[in-house]
Amino acid sequence: MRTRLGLATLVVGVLLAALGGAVTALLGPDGRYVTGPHEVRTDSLVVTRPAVLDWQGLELDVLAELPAEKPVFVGLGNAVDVEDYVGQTRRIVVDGVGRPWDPSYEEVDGGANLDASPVSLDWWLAAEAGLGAAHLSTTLPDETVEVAILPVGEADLTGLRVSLAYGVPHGFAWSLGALLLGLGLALLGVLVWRGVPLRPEPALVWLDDEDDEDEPAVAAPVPAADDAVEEQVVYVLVDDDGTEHEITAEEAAAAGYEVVEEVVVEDAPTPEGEPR
Amino acid sequence: MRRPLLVLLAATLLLSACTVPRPKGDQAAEKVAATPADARRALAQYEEVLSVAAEALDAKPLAAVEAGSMLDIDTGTFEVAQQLQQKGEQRSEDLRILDVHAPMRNAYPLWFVMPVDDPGRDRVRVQVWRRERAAEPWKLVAAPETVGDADLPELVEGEQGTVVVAGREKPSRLGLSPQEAADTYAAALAGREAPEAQLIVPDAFVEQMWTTAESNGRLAGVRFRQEWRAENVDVALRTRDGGSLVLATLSRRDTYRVAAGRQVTWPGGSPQQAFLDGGGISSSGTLRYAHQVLLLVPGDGSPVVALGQLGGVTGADVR
Repeated sequence: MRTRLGLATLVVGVLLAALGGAVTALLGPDGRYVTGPHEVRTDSLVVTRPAVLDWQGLELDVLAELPAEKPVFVGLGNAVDVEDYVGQTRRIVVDGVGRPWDPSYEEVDGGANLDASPVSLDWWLAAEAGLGAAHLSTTLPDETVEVAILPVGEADLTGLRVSLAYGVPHGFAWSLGALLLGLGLALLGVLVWRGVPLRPEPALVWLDDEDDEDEPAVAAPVPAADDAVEEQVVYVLVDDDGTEHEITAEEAAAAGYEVVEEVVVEDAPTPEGEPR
Repeated sequence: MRRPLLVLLAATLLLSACTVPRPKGDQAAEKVAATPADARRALAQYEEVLSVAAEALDAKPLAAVEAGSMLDIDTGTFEVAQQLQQKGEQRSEDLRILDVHAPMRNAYPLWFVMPVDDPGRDRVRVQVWRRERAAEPWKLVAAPETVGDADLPELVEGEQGTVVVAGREKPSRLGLSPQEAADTYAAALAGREAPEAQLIVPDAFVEQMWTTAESNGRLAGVRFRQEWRAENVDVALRTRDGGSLVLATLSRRDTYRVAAGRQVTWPGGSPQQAFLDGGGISSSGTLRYAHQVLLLVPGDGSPVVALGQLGGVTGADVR
């Protein structure tokens, strides 16, 4: 039973530590898995399908960069809004990103221009625009959303480079915690498996004594496990003359003697036949 | 000692689970048509544009915040005010949004219904806002005013606090579909002898329309014809009694054919006179009206009740 418990704890600990270690290494201290910059060849606009962003609570960073300080816009919006907005426009629709970067996409034909500037719309859940670069940093909500990378004004997206980062809120701290917890469990499993006592066996225990709670009662020594160190308790009464008498625990308890000093002798070699 | 530690560990894990990313469920594209913040923003922008237009007695800015029959009615109102050199009606500064009824939508156009209390006029306007495209702003398309002390019915609630749209089908064996209700109401307005008049509750508006038509029909030397038509209904909400709350837009055409030597005129300062450039109709002419009617269609087959109404002259053709 003890062996199986120890083994199970060890396995759980190793798995947890491995997982925590892997995630810690993947995310790094900033809690982000970053890929890019990657070149995207298009002069129209880029939109993801909802299936690309099918997790909620994930932190997402999208950095879109354009040469020559061209204005660029990155926005996250509900799919109903984004689809209606870009639906009539020529665009690249990203079906999947791949890990770390193996995008699949299709080109959809349509008009050259959007009906309105993206910066004038009020339904973006998160959006950023900038000259030469736009950096969107957001947490994916629990609704069907799409990311759009759009040109602003007369500019186009020629020369677009995209960097992505995924993160878990407090991911580094949690993965590090999992690593340490896993290591602790693994160590605990080893100790349990090998039968190492996890705490010292008490030589004296306190018994309830309604008459005098402060006074310790003498109890019989707890029997030690077969494979543990055997302990022997000896009670010595010192009389008025300073003479020491060995008494039993029952005698000490019956006379109401008080234990005034405890002397522990560990692993002291005792000559055969000589009393300690 | 161990128990509190275990509880702490369990609580920490549970709390951490709340922030751990997880796959989304259904990936169907849908959204709540508008949040209360969207509604507040739309109303604030509308009031701003309306005050500019009212100050200049110019209806052109309204096209940015109004559409459909609402724009037609307000444009007509502004044209009348412009010709008569009258200031627009006094607007209340402290409009109060009573509620925002927004359905779940999976495509544009989006719309929502918003009762707004206008304490200055002691009326509730049931505003209907519509966003035709994602690239366009919210526009006010209807704002019927409640009649008397009419209360809006309780609406069926959907997920995330939304309201449920009443479809084109009949809600029950007895009740009318939204489009049937609108068509019935329009047909009933044609005259008190119309068979459909039995299917509606004749309120003050209906009585006024009947009386006006009868008066015009009695004009000597004038052939008068009044036509009512209900436009397609696309705003209707399911009510808890199994019926529906329907916004019906009705178009009305009053045609006058006047015998030689006679003329039909209207009182000075009336919208009709303003649309007729201060004159009357001496040969033949048509006045066009738009009416927005908020209909309560009971689920048990009871007569249709108009809870609110707004209308006005939208144009005139004179030969």
